[in-house]
Amino acid sequence: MASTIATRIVDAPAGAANRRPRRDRPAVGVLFWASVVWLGVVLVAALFGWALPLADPTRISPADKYAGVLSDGHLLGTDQLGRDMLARLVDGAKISVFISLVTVTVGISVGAVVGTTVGYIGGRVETVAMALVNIMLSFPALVILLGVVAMAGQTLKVITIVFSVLAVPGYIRFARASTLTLKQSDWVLASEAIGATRPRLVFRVLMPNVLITLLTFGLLAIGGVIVAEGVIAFLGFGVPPPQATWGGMIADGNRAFADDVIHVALVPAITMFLTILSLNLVGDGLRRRYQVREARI
Amino acid sequence: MTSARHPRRSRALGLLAAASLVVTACTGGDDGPGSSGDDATSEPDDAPATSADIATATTQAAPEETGLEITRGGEISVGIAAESSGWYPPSSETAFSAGFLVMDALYDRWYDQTGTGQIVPFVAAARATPNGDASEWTMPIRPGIFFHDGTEVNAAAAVDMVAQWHEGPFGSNSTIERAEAVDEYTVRYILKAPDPAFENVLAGIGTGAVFSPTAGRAYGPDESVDHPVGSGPFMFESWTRDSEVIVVRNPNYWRTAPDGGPLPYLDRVRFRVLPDATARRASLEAGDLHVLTQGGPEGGQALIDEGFVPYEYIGNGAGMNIYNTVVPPFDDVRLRRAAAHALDPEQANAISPANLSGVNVVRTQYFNSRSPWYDEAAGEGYAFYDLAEAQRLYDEYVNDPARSDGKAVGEPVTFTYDCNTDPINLDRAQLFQQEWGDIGFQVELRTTEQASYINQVVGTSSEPLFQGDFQIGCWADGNEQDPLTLFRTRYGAGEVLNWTNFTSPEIDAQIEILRGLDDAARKAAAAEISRITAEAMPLHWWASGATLVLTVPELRGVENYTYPDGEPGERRASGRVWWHEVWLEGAAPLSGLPTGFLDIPDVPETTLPPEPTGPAARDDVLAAMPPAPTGLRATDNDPPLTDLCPGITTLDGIEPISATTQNYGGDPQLGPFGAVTIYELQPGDADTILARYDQAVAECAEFTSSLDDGTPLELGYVARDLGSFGDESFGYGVAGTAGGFPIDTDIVLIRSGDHLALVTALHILSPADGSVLGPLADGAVTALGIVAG
Repeated sequence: MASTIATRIVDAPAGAANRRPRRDRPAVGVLFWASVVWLGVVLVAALFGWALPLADPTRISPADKYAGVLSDGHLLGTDQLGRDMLARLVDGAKISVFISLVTVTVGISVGAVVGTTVGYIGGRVETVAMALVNIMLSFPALVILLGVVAMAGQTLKVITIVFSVLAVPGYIRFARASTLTLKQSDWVLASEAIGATRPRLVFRVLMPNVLITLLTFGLLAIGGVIVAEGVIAFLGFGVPPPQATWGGMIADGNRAFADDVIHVALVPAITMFLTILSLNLVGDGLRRRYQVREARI
Repeated sequence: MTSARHPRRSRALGLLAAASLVVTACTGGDDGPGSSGDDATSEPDDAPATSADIATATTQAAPEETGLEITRGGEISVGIAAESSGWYPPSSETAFSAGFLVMDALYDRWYDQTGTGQIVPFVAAARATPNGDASEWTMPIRPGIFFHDGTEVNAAAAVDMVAQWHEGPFGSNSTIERAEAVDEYTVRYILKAPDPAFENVLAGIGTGAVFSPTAGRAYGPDESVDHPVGSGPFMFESWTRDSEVIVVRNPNYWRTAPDGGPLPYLDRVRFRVLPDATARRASLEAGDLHVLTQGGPEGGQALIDEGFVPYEYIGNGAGMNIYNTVVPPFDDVRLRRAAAHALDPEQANAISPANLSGVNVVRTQYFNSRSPWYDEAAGEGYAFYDLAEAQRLYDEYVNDPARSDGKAVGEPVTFTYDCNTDPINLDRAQLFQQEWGDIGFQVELRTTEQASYINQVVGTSSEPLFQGDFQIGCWADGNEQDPLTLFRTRYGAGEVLNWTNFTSPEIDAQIEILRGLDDAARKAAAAEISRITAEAMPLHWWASGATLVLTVPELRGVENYTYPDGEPGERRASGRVWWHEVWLEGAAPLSGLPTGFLDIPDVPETTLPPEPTGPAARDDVLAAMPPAPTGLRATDNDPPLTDLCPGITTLDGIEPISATTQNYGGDPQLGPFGAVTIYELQPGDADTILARYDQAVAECAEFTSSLDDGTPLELGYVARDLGSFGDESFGYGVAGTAGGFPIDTDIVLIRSGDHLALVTALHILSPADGSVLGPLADGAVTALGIVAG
């Protein structure tokens, strides 16, 4: 009997232990759904932007420089080179979505496996692993990033790899912290008691629950990655021109301020702001919904 | 980057420029020759139309100066774009043009160069006079000018300035062999090679800056960089690196205002280092700055609309694309021309106007239309915008089985366009990429941070010499230098500043003509080089840009350039401002300002560098000599001259109270080995020694002897006019031939009370032209400042 119960719990859908009965879940509001819609729009733009009837995002046309928002043929105006801002936003979404999704996916995957494993095993392995993680975290990420990009070249591939590598230690810490909490649970003890193997404990028992935590964290982290990409693009180290990126567009807009033209900066900035805000709102909503604990990170 | 000066586009370029400048500054001393440019510098220039329009626009915007009463006093803050490594000309790398603004406050120059390249005497009393082949220039100095430390600007100071240049890190680049005092206020420069435009060097910020050699010795080369002492309108007060340089009014400035009152008008100027253009703008708008320099047309109009007053400057600088003419594919002139034909200057101008007027004039050569060296016809062969021709040349290359990039017929030409990270350059690069792409080129863009980019383009001193690692790059160049200096460095084989690596025997032939003194021939030679390069297209000029200085409306006199003779000058390139003629409406005099000269430490005797060691250095000198009579060499360490004429035994029987000998390495006049002995003598002994020399001159005007090996010596004692060294100075010499080989000695006595400095040196002279090849014996000479005390 005991073993049956234990098995059921252990193999229950991920997150079972943390889940409240449906009637207790906090309701999500209009903001949540509005955010979901906005993120959907961004995602569609990123995936299917190529199919939309938009201008060439890289076509320079000095005669159209600084056309305003809602001007003829340019819904969101043009930048300092006369390029269509809407087309560039859509084109830039591709970069932002690609880098952030890859980074978060790599982070979650590696973080979950390594973090859960060392968290569960503990002992010297954990000490060594966490020391390495802490060392990685103690390097200033932006400096590493700029250094590597400067040496290895400013390409989407390099930037994505560097972002991913830099993201991993955070996820490892997160996963380990969750694991430390979870492994005190009765159902984990029960699984151990009935003789579950280590791999089974790590991958079947603990990891599904750790992943829930990492996914909500990852949702918030996507925003962070988009901002980080914007920062390095703003500094001139992002994906090289003529490829549009949101950060690069804001950098262009920053210079347009000198000419008292504000829409070049505002359009991408608002877009980025809405996207980050949406990610946070959705992430918060999901976290509340699934009661992910933030303690002991 | 480079050197260039172009407009803002170049902020980045500006940096480049700065770097270049550095190169330049060292090279010649002048203002940079090379150029660079940055934004600051850059100015567009080119076009006449442009110039006229700009002049009009600026004039309208400029404050009406008449009718206002000048106020004296007050303090202003000036935003500059870059920090320099110091303010002591012989060893500082001055950022172009930010640092030049500071240097102009601290230092006068011997000459000034107007916007059209004319030379106007400044601290010099008149134009310098060359000898027959322009290898020696004699310059009169305006008497009565004092450095901030109270010492006088005279010939002795000018001579020591050259010596300090030669001791400095850029000394080996100096075009001056040595300088000598002709009289108290006349100095003669002896050049390493003839230079018909040598006055330009004396008008540059480097070798032209009149700095106090006494302070230079007192502080030494390391400390002098933050203790600058010149004769300029402002004296140094303090310097906080990367933050600000503060200068205060020089109460003893030699120039007077048109109203007869003293100059400068302002009491204090703060130069604040604000590398970020946005920060400079914000500071101006917030009232923290009175003057913004190195602004550009971008955003300029917005500030003008807010009431700030623009001063736009036009010079020879401009941005450009440079081709590496020794690397495929642009080693083929067809592709260089195709790439140039493909670019529409109006498109680039629409993205980033060259100047406030927005008028763009295509530039075809190193000189703008206002330059005396400009030649319109020389630009006729230039690759102007012409898409059809671009396509034709491109197709011809692509379908040429012998195409230089080694690809198969029909394959597109690929290349990388390099530039620094300046966002405006990047905008332009993207436009170029599109325009080149439209005719078939496949172009990648690569941006590199400024300092690395300069190194990348310049290359290294290993083989291939200064080739650089690029195919096409953005750059900036152009200045008011004489065409000889300009073209020799830009198109000479192996020259650091020959970024394009373009050389041609035809250009070399014209450069030889430029070395002459015939003005008409030189003008024709410069035009011919412009013609050759317009056809070969080693570089493709962008629209020239403008350097913009913006000020608060209360600041007046920014455009005033009154020369010492009272003649009004004209605005010049590089955004220079003559701070002594600037004044602030409503300013009140400040208190607590210095009223006298600056105190400087005593000159330490140890500032003289040690002798560069004997045997090795000596061997070098001997090796460099032409075949000489063997006996003369044999006597190297045992000069027999003292035995030849009794008068020369001038120190016999003299018992000095003390004698101090200092070795001095590197005096340009007497070669690499020098020593000066300072004797403290019993009263009367100095007179005895001098009398013995006089006697030697009288009695030994001619004598003969022979060296150990029998080489005949035919010599004579002569008295020499030394001009003025120290309190009293006396010059003698023994000159003649040794077996037909000319030799020469210098014996200089400098007397100060009962101190006597004795300097002797023997030289071997070149039989060809009489120039000094090297000393034979330990001679000496030096800084007269030592004796004066």
